[in-house]
Amino acid sequence: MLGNKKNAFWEAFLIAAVVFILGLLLGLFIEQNRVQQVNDYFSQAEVSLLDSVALSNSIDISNSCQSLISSSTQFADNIYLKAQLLEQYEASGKISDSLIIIHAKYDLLRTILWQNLIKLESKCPGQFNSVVYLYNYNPPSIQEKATEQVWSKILGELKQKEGNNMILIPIAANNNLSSLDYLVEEFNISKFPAVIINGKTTIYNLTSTNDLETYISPPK
Amino acid sequence: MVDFITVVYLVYIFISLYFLTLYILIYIPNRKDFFTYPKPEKEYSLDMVIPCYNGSETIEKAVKSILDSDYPGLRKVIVVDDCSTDNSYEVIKSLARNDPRVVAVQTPKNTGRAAGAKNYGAKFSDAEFIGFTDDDSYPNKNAISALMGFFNDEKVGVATPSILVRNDSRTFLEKFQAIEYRVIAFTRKLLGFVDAIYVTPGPLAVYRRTAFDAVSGFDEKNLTEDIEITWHIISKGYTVKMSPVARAYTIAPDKWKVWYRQRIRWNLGGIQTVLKYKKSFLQKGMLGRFIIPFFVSSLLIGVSGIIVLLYRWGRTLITNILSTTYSAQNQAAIITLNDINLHPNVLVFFGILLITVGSLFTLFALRYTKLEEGFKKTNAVSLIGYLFVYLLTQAFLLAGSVYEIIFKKKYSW
Repeated sequence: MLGNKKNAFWEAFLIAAVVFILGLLLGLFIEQNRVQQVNDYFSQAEVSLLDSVALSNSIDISNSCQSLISSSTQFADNIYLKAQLLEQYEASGKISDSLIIIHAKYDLLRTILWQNLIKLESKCPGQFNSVVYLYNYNPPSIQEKATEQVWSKILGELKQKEGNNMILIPIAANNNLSSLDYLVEEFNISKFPAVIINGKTTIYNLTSTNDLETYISPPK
Repeated sequence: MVDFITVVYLVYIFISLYFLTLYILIYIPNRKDFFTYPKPEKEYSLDMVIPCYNGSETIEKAVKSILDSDYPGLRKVIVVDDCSTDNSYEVIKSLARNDPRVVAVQTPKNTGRAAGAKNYGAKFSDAEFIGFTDDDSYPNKNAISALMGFFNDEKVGVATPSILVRNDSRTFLEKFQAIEYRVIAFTRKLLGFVDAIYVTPGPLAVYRRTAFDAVSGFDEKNLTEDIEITWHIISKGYTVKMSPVARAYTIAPDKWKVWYRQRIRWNLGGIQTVLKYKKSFLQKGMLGRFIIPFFVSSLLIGVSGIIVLLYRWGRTLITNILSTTYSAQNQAAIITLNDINLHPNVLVFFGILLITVGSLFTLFALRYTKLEEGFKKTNAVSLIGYLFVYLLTQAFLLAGSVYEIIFKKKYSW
């Protein structure tokens, strides 16, 4: 196998390089598969959102609040679950940054949903609860990262408790989306993470699920 | 864009893959020659030197193990007391009285390191070959004779045996070292097939006298004189051979503190040697093209790896502590299902591959270095502890060595 025994050094280098490159390609393939999967979810979500927006544009709102709220809730819940999967994929992604771009696309979708909810709130006041959670995509400090982790848990618990009575929209606020930046300015958000409940109350400090529940109107 | 920490991991993975592949490639064509060794073409004369410092409890056994050697060319056993503070010299003199082959000598003053005593003892030898062993090492009956045949080849400057742990049955530390020494013995033999042995350890090594003189003996300023002399001899064009059939047993530290200081000394000596031979880096020959790059890359990767690891662990730990505190303060769940990520990444796949191949390699090495009667078999708990705990400590030792360099602590016997 080895003509000259010292060739072992080069042969080992070549074999290790081949195995290493194959491993990297496999990793890239797996990550691309995940990107594809998330992209497919994104396309479905995009259709659902457009459908929801079209619905609100095409029917007499005052008589159809319930169906619009229900459509928005379903869409928000769906996108929330997919975003959780996306975040797990992102945490696992090591050699490709495609998922970061998809994250921005999801944030844009959720910003459109938020805009839609603002309109809906003015037309169907007090008929649903919206909780918008604005956070930093890459928190600058460990403290902020920990705070965001706990906010996610608290809001997840709140969503579980409230179910369809609440629409939860988490959005990474520092993705350079001008539409989102405009809303952030409109709501006078001074720092992240921030939680906006029903477009009226903005909470910056961590607050327990029980305390947050006091801001949520009971189901009608 | 791949982040820096991932790059460090990937470099680690590549280097590990490289060495595992190298060992496999060396093993396959040489497997039949693993245990073979040449018989000496003539009876080469040999003197053995045993440096001793406060070794009154072990020296008698060490000398006896040399005297029991079946090598017929053994002439003198020069036992050098380095001005011990115990009764070592009395024991040595009594051994000399009982056997004419034993020569008891004492250094004029304590030399501070084994190298000094070894060089002093070498002055009393006039044989063609000179061997060294430690005062707590015990070569097997056939260890020396299994080495001497390599010197039929004029290019061979040093020959060394398998160094194994004698005290392998008590603490976990001893058991881990027992496994470690066996794996090292296996890999050292593999490296011997490509003339890449980089150390001829203290427990037993036999030197061609001309090679020993060509490098003026051991470097008394070096903390690991056995690494330094090996590199020096290689740099003079000699090769190093190893016989796994030849075995020398040594007493490994049984306390973590002693073990830590020993390993730090080894690492510091390694660094000292790299600095001494830095001009040979990437120069022609095995020393410049393999041994020094191997040492330097191990050092750099080890130190950068531990920094990255500590940074990552530290960051995760602090984040988790803060997150737990905040969760408790706000009556939120400490851990939720979302915190469990079941989507492995490429680093995990590589990690599984390396752990699997590395574990198989270790098992294979243990199979090849079967212990003699009277030694306990390696059990699964020790093996798992060795693979997943003990090996990790090597990176911390490197970090400890860097700390010691910064604070310039002194090391002696």
